[in-house]
Amino acid sequence: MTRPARFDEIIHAPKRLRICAFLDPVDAAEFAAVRASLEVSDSVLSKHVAVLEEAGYLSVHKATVVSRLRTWLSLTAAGRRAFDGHCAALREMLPPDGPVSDADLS
Amino acid sequence: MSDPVRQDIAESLHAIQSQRQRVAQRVASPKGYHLALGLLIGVMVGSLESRSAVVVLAAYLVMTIGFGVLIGVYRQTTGLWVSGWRRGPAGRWTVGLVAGLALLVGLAAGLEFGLGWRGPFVVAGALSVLWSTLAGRRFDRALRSEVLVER
Repeated sequence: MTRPARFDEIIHAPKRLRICAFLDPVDAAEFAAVRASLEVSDSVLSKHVAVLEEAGYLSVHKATVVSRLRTWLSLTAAGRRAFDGHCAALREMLPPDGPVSDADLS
Repeated sequence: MSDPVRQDIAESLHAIQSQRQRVAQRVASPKGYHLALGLLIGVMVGSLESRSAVVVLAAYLVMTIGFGVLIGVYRQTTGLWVSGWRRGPAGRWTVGLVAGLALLVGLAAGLEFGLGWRGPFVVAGALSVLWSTLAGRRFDRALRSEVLVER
């Protein structure tokens, strides 16, 4: 189902956008996997996770795997809706004949 | 639209796709995962041939514990968790897997208890291993395609 386009300032921050993009296709991801995908430190990731959690977009839970306590992150239903809406808003902001090209990224 | 704004949007969309590609690289099941899953299911189905509640219960326990171990291995290896019961093509393979297994067990039960044949559950167990492995691999492929879909 297509969500209504809605630009979201909380999600749009580059690192938070990448966190949401990583979590969107899965049910949950381990903190370390998200950190590796962003190539940031624990503290930087924690800071952005806290912002998303406070917004109700992300949930954090701890689970013991092979006797080690691990932190898992997942988008909440509200987070998924907001991310969908944000992606739709970004697409709408590009001209119809304006696919993302290398020139746009230079 | 001004160039800086357009560039910001383009970079954002590029970052989203880049992250999805990273997920797609990680999401594949560990080697032998689906075969192990299939063997656990196959042993469970095959155990029905024994007509012994103790044997079936033991096979059920082994399957349940085995599922738990496999889930742990998947989570530890990939750092991700993806439910099989998701919407979309990948989830349809889960439905297909369960429907296929139900069909195999139903047919075997019909042959065993209806016609008095011996051995259909063993054959159904062997076919369950093949079907589970195939459906699992197709699930992985469908999931990877889903993850790579452009947002």
